[in-house]
Amino acid sequence: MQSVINAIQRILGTEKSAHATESGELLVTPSGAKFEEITRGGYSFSVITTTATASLVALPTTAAGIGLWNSAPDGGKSMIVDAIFAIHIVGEATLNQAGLIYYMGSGREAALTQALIPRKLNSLGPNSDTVAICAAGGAIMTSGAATSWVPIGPTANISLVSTPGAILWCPIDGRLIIPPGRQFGVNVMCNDVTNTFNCGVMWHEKQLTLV
Amino acid sequence: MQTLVRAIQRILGTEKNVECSEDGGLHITQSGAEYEELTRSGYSFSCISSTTAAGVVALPTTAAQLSIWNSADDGGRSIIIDALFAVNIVNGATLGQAGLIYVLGQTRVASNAGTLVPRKLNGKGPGSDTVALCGDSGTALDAVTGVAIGWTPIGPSVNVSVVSLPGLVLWAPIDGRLIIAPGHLLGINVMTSNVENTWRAGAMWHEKQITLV
Repeated sequence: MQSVINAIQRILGTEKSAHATESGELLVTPSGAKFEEITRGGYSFSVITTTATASLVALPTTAAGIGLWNSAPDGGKSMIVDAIFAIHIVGEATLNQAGLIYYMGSGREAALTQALIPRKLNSLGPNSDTVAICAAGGAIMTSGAATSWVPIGPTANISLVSTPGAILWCPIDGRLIIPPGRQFGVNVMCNDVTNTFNCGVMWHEKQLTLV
Repeated sequence: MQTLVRAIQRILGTEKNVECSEDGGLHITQSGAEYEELTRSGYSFSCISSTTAAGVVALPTTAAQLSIWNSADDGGRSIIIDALFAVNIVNGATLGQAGLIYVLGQTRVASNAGTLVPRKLNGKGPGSDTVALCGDSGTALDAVTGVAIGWTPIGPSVNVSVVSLPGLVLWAPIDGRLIIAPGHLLGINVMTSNVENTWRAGAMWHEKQITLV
């Protein structure tokens, strides 16, 4: 059976056939912002550390600027990472360049210690029904090894010593998914350990079949 | 029952099977720009502060360069943020760096009594039928929304290459990652190296009746 797709034209209210290109690609038009429906759904969150941690001049092992752990049981909700970021709040006496690195656990790992409260990105209250356990920075990535930290996003520079203002921001857009029981860490690779950053993550949660 | 989807070929006007990839991915092509339909519909707005103000050199609490309060009743329209931005108006005598920060209130709060006039992004006039009240720089956030731990960096930072001259622009596509529910408040500010650097901060958003959960 073959059917032409018809839809109701917004405003006009009349029925119209969907169009395609000459080569048969269905023509579509977004009617919402890229993240709008995800944010609306109430399972989009953001968290940032409240205490800055020293950046790293070598790839770390267990040290993270912030750590997340998916507390769901196996088969439960996944955490889909939308963005990771860091902000340089207190300036130090050297110029610097810095970039984000992340760690993704590849097996079920121990729970982290809850220390930070995620905020809902649709503004309807903090910490509602999230599976994320959000830990402050420290030597917390249980199975972390230098080979498991990966650079991501652009580098930022500081042009004036002893001043804040540098921000690291990397849209992830679902490239990383934290399955149940896994740890996820973010840190900052920099030229000088005296530079400190507050690290954070944006994510949404969804029941997915991971294969 | 299975149905082979067909569509009308634009221009040619003839029916054609919609095609897919070898692994079954439906082939699609955008017939408009990413924000075209939202902008067309008349509920896309932009607003920028009219008072130039210094950036902050530490995470603020209630200080914002721009605040947006959703004046809708509970269950009313939401404000979906599409982009945040700021422009450097006056630069100080030192090199430096700057980045955008925001705070999104998590509870209903009192109005910011904002008086800035948003502009419609389809060019059909300022301030028509928006639920957003936009507070200029100097309009303090309420103390529940404006807490240091709520301020979050967003978008890449920029660097000054020539002192004492403007030209820096901060731009963060948000693409719906942030939604201001009815009665809630969003604050925007610039974290910078030097308070001599002054800015005007702004936002682009669209408004829609959606069910927030």
